[in-house]
Amino acid sequence: MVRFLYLCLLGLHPPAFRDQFGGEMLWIFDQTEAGRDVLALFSDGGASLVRQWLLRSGAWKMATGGVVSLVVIGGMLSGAAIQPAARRGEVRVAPHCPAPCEPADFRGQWAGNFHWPGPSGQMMLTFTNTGDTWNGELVVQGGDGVAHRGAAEDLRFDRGSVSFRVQTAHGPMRFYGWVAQGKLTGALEPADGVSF
Amino acid sequence: MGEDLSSFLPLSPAILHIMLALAGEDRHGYGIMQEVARQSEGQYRVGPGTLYDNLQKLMNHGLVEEAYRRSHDEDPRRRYYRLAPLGRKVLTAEVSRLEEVVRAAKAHLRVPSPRRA
Repeated sequence: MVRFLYLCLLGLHPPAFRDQFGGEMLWIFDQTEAGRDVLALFSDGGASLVRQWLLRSGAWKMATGGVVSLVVIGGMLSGAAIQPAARRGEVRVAPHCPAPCEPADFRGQWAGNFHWPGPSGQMMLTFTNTGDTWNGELVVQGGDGVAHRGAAEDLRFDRGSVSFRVQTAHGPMRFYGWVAQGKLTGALEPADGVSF
Repeated sequence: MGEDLSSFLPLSPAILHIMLALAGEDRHGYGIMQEVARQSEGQYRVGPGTLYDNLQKLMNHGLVEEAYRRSHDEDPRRRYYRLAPLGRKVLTAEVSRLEEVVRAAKAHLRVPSPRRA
């Protein structure tokens, strides 16, 4: 009975994790002497379930993306105009980051629009933190409708600001962004010769 | 040119213990759990969920890899893991960092308290 319950707990994990490690976790459960550490195994399994769905599976990204899409669509339907950025090359992305904006608050997707010499378009920044390592990705969709992806390299956070290097069609660029009034605003500049 | 390992540091306690458990020999998941408990004299234990979550991260970053070491009489669910060369470098760097921390801590603890005139 207890084994069956643990099997059910494993079955609730995201498929990718379950397929990769579920068999081993059940094997470890079988190795554990009956009655000993079973409570700890269930506690660990429950924590693992929450962690895998909330932090690793990307389900929260989809939920965030859905909420952002609804907000954007709602804004468009209500006639809210998107204000153009103040200067060329400026990037303005949402959503909220509470003040003071800590590095961990950057986790997730920041979606908004960019203004660049030439056609403007949509952009999305994704910052993920896998334990000790930050990863970032920049997706830019210009007027031609083509999505250009670039990995954020040399990602740096300093309280309310973020910077990273990214390869673009115009060469290596560095994004400098800061949070003001809950919004991430920044600029892309040629990386060469720029110190930070 | 040397690799930049600083992005991996500092290691979380779970990651550090798992990598230390794999530093000596290849182990399966249950073996890692037992070795972590042994190394810490029972003061630190990782459960299977925590273990495999961290193993997944370590493998995604190329620090740990699966070791294909199975015999016919073993349970097919049992898989072995080993520290990858990059993982060994990261672990070495973390140990050096910890040595510096301990050295600094000892130096500070040796500082005598100011005497009253």
